[in-house]
Amino acid sequence: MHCLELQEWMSLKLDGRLLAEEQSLFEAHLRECPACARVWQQWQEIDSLFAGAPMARPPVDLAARVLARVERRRHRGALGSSLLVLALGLAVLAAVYVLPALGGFCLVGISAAQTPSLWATLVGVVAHFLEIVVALGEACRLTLWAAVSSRSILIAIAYAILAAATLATWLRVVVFRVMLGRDVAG
Amino acid sequence: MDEERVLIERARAGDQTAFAGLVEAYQVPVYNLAYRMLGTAAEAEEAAQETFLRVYQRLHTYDAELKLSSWILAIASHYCIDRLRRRRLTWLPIEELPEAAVPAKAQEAPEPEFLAREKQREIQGLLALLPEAYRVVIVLRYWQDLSYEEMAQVLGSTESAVKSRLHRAREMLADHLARRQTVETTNGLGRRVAGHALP
Repeated sequence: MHCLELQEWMSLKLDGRLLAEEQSLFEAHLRECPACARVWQQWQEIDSLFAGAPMARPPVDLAARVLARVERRRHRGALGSSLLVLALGLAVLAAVYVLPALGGFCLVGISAAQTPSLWATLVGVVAHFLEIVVALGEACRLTLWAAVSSRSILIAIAYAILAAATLATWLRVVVFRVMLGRDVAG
Repeated sequence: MDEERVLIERARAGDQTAFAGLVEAYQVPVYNLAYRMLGTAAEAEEAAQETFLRVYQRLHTYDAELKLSSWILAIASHYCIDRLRRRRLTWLPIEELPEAAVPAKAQEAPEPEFLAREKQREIQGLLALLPEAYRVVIVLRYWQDLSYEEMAQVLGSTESAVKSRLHRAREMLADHLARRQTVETTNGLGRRVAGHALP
C-alpha cells in the first residue's frame, strides 16, 4: 500500500467508513511506516480535539428575542397594507374633489385664453371664479332651504348618521389598527 | 402525527406559541453552528435570530419529506457561509470569547475554566483557518454528528463532494498542527542550546 493512498483513507477511517479488509491494510501500513504513523497521530489529535468540544450555548432569551423580531416584522407587514388602504382612500378622495376642480379651472383658463388682452383675461378669470362661488353659494342656500323647509331634513339626518358610522368604522378598522401596530412594534 | 409535525402545522397557521416551541427545540444546534462558523457570540446570536426569522417566513415551503433539523441547519449554514463570504476576513478576538461557549462544569474552578477557554480558543482558531465550505462540514460532522448523506442534504451537495471537503479540511488542520509542532520543537531546541551556551 502506498503512503498517499493511506492518507486518502484517513478521513474515512475516522468516520468508521473503511471496510474490514481496508482497515487491515491501513493498520498494517501504519505499523511499517513511521512517517504515516506520525501523520495519522496528528489526524487523531485533531479528531479528538473537535470530538470533545461542547456545544456553544445560546443566550437564555434568544427565543424571546426571535419572537419579538417576528412580531415586529408581522406588524410592519400589517402597517404596510393598512397604509396602502389609507393611500388608496386618499387617492379616491383626491380624484373626487380635485379632478372636477381642476377641470373647472382648465375650462376657465381656456375661455380666458381666447380673450385678446391680458387685462381682459384676468378680469375674465376673476369673473368666472366669482360666478362659480356665487353658484356654489346659491346651491348651498337652496339645499339648506330645502332641508329645513321640507321632509328632506330626515333624509339629510339619516345620511349624516350613515356617514358618521362609516367614518367611525373606517377609523376603527384601519387607522386605530395602524396606530396600535406601531405602538406594539415600537 | 408526531409532536414536531403538530408544532409545524400550528406555526404555519400563525400560532406564535408553536413557533416558540420550534425555536426552543433548535436554538442550541443553530446557535452552535453560527458560533463555530462566525467565531463571536454577537455575530452568532444575530445569525441565529436571522435563521429563525427565515424559518418563520419560509415555513409554508417546508417539505415534510426532509428532516426539519436538516432544513433549519441548511438555512443557518447558507446564511453563515454568505456572511463569511461578505466578510472575507476571519479572525477571533480573544477577549470576546463568550462565557456561554464554555461548558458549565468548567466554570466551577479557575483552572478548569482557564483550560476550557484555552481549548475553545484553540478550536476557534483552527476553524478560522478553514475556508467557509470546509469549515461548515467540520461543524456539521463534529457538533451535529451528521452522516455524509445528511451533510449533503443540508448543503445541497453530493456525498462525494462532502467526503472530499471533509478530508481536505482535516488534512489542512493536521498540516497546521504538524507545522506548529515543528516550530515548537525548533524553539525548544533553540532555547536549550542557548541555555548551554551561557557561562
